[in-house]
Amino acid sequence: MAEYDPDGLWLWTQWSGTIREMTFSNVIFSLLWSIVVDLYTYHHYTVYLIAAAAVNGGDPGELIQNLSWVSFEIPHSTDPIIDTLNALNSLWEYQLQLTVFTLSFFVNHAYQYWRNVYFCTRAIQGRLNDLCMLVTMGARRSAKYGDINGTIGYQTNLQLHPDDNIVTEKNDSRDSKRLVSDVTRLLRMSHTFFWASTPTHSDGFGDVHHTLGGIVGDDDLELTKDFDPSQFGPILMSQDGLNMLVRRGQLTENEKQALIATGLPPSQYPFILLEWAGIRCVDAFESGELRGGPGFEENLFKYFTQCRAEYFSIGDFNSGRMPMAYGKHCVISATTKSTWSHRKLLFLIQFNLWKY
Amino acid sequence: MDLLVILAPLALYTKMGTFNIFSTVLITLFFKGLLELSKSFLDPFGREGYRAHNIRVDVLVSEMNFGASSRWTNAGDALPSDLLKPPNIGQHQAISTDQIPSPTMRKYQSQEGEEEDESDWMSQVASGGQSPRRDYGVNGKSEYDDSKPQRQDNESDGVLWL
Repeated sequence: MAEYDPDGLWLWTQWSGTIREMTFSNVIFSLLWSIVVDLYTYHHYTVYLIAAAAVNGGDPGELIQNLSWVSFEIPHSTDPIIDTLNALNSLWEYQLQLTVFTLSFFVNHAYQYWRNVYFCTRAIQGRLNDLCMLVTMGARRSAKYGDINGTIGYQTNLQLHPDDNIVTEKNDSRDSKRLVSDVTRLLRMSHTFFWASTPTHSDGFGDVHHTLGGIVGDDDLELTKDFDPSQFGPILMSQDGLNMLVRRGQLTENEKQALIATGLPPSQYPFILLEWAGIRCVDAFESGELRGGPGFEENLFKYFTQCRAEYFSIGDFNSGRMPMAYGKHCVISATTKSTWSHRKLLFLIQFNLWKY
Repeated sequence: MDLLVILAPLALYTKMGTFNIFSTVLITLFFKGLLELSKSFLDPFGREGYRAHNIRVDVLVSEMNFGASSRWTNAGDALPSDLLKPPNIGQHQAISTDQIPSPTMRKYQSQEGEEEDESDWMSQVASGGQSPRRDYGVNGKSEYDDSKPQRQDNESDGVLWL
């Protein structure tokens, strides 16, 4: 969400993303429509004056010469169109009250929906951050593996020989450093895959190749230039996308093969990776790569399930985004304001036209 | 909503005359603006063309990538050693009221059995030398096993750690 300056002058000078930008075309249309109404009413008024002068023995020529472009006496005249418009005014004021009520409800509910979705996206980030923090906190440590002197790092089964800077693997299956790397990488890819599989504007729907000014398809990403930008998300989870991720070290070849071997559609890859990260943690507790008691274990897996729930919430929000309000909006807005008003409007117009 | 705006110049004419033009413009701006604002709220990811209040997923992903790959892992991989280990007095400028190690310190030193190695290593750390990297876990002697004594704040009587 873009930041803004609450200063009034600054707000007035903004255009992009404001209601002025959103309603610009509507305002122009209303302006033209109002001018047309005024011109027609003025025309009707002059015809009425000329006709009245002709009937009452007046001088229409002098009357026409004295007419001005703006006549403030029109609304107070006895022109029959004024009575018709008065009837419309009664209807319009009634409709105005209903619209204010409906619109207030609509705005409030829509903003609440937006906030819910926004905080759900942040909750997903939060749960994944919780998981990363807990795993790094619980990983077994050894003072002998800190990358910086005087620090304690994750325990690893890799041994550095200071003399010749050769890294060898020791005879120990426990490797907390690799655990942290694996779990954070799987969680990161789960998050990326989730948004890649969720249709959004910013995951590539509106993006173009970087050679055309976009942000995707950079050569560093090793994607071909002839891909369909609108399919960037699914492409990331296609065979080509998975191969690219393997080359970039974000997935292992074995993980890529296992993802495909599950037989599940790519939209399920985020949940597969989330589950693999959880299984890796279970294994880490058994092997001793993760320290902590039942409380720590419970909290860790609670965040895994909460993360799963937040993932699913995005889909729930999309599929059921205003069920009650939408129905209410249809009943009040469409039926009352359109159907009922149209009938009443036609009745009133016919009644007024019949009168005159 | 559209009907309200369309009828506005007709309905307002009898009360405002020519000024209904400005009134209609304002009514359109306020009511249509609120309606469009609501619609943009209902399209938080911009899939239906409302881009004003989109939640930028690429920002979410980049923030998460940084958090998962750098923030927590780097912080956890560079834990200052004296946060977990009872520091040696003198090397870490501990102030003791009686210059006698606390019971925890004594217990730690008596059970450590590798006090000299620790001192040597800490001396090298203090002097800026390269620390030997050894795996205590190989021999089942990891420094922070549960069997090892841990520093308890309520046991550090008489010692103030700086």
